Amino acid sequence: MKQQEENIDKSLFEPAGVDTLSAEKIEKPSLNYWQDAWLRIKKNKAAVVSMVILFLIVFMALVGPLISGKDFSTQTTSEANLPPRIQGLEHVSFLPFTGERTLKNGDVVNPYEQKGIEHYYWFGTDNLGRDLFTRVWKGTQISLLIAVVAAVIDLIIGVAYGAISGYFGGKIDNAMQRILEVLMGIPNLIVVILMILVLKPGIIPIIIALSITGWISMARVVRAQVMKLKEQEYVLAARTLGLSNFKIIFKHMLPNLTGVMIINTMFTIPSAIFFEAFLSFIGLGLQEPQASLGTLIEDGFKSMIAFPYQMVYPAIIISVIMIVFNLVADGVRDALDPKMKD
Amino acid sequence: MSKYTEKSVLSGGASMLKYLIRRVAYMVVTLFIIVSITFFLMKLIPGSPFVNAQKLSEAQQAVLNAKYGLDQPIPVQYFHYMINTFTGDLGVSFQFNNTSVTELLSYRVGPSAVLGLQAIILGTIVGIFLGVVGALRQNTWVDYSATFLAVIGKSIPSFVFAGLLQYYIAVKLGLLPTQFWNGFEYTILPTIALAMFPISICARFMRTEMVEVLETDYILLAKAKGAGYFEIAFKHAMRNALIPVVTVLGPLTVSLMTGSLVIEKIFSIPGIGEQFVKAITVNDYPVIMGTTILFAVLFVVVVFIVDILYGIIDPRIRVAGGNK
Repeated sequence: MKQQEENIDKSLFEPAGVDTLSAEKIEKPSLNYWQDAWLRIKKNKAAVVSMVILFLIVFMALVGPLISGKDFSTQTTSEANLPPRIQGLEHVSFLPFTGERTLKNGDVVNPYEQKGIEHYYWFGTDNLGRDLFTRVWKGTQISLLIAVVAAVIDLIIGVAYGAISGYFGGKIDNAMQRILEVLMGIPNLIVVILMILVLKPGIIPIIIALSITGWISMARVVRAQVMKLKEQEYVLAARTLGLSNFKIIFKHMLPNLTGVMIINTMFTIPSAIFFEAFLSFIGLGLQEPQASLGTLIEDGFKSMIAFPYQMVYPAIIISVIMIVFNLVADGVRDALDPKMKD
Repeated sequence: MSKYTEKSVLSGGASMLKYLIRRVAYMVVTLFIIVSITFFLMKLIPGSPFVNAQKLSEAQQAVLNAKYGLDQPIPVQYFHYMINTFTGDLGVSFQFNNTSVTELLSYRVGPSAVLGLQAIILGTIVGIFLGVVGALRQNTWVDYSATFLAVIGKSIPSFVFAGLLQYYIAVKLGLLPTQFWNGFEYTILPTIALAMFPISICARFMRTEMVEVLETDYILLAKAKGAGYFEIAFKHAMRNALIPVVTVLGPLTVSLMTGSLVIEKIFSIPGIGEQFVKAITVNDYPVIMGTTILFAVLFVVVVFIVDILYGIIDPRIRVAGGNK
């Protein structure tokens, strides 16, 4: 071994060039916060798949009611309670789209043939003969709308409250925190139900009821973040330059709050969807002929034993929405939270 | 050694007392506000509280109003209501045979309590088990399926899950009774439906805590000492990981309350939730108010107990500052 080392001729070596410039060269392109987050979320397969599904659901919620060729509120009582039937899939006996249904005594009947109905109801019809496919997507649209608007209101109130409380600190913060602590002690279920009782069910009352308590968690995270941020040098610099408090909060600190804001909103939306459906289910939801996923499940539940499909489709859609929203929210949180950086 | 512990216990006791007083004050204020809000919101609700109000003559309505004290000015009604509430008198139901609300609810506490307790016991045990297994077998299929179960349990609304359980297990397969409340087998499906949320919350929380604990130095030391796998997992790691799980009891109570409304409705269980939903549909103000207050008291008390427990179990947490 030693022998061999000695045998190597010195001329075979050449000095490595010391290039001070290339030593500092950064191999990979520098990424900002959002590019970095995007890279991380792309690695999370569950989140990516969920995002695609979520996108499809939103797309169907917008387009679904238009492509069925039927109206969500038109009642055709002669075509009530028809099972689902889809062109091309009607002869595939193992799929539930044959237009047949099994009676209590085990007989299989096809109401479409019995009644001589030519058109296809993809998800069947309800007890008033309304097309469920249209109603389910219309309902999805309304549920999503309620949830998103409620989440945006929560965001605005929560950020304003949290930022003011955290930025000014001292007595203001103390007073605002005491109020928050009392509010937190009130179960939001109760407030939401009471608000709906007072306001009468409808899209706007539901949004108001959901926003009344929904902003609290946002206010808390924003306050904590603002308290951390206000110690940073750039805030000091802004203050030295004589910027107003309002400008410091909303122009300089807000961009640094977007992470927590997005994470929190991603979790508010599914909980708003849940609450809307929950209210509908206990009889405080939207009024006929309007539909949301909650009212559809409630209606379907009433006739579940005879016509299970009336409950199953809205139930599947709401479950899928909730699952993908939670998965995307988890993914976004992991991607945006610098503590999780790998 | 004994000197130190004594000293810390003493100072801890003093701050603990201060903390307790502060928390009790908050509880009272919160309850006062809840009762007030409930009262005033109820006054704002349109619609008559009496059965077949349209059929009653003006005179009959006046008599009824006088009987229930509804003819008095609102501040007077408010004052009476406050006094009655804090002495445990929640008024008389307008709709359900003029029974007193306290009595009406007292019949219904049983089933709700049984259901709630069963759900929370099942939920925490299964949840903790899933969490521990997930953490011990990190990033294997066991972990992934436990996490997936947790996501599903957290995502699917309890009434959807309950409806599907009822249809497939009770109606289709006929394995368990569909509805009503006649013994243990009637409690199984509602308990499972109600336990889904606790399971997923406990599982997620437990997994995170367990993973963190497993990376600490004292676990390394235990391994170095040659402690067995199960000893490390269950004796050393799980006990410390369990501490923060206490904090989820607060959200769990809320979920049980929310869940009880829909699940008792679905399975026709004579509990408080079912009564509440019924009262809402028939505008029975005293019952709605009474149930609201009962729920609020329950919630506030549970949050209080959880906070205190947390301070007692984990001495590292200074209760004075450790307010979540």
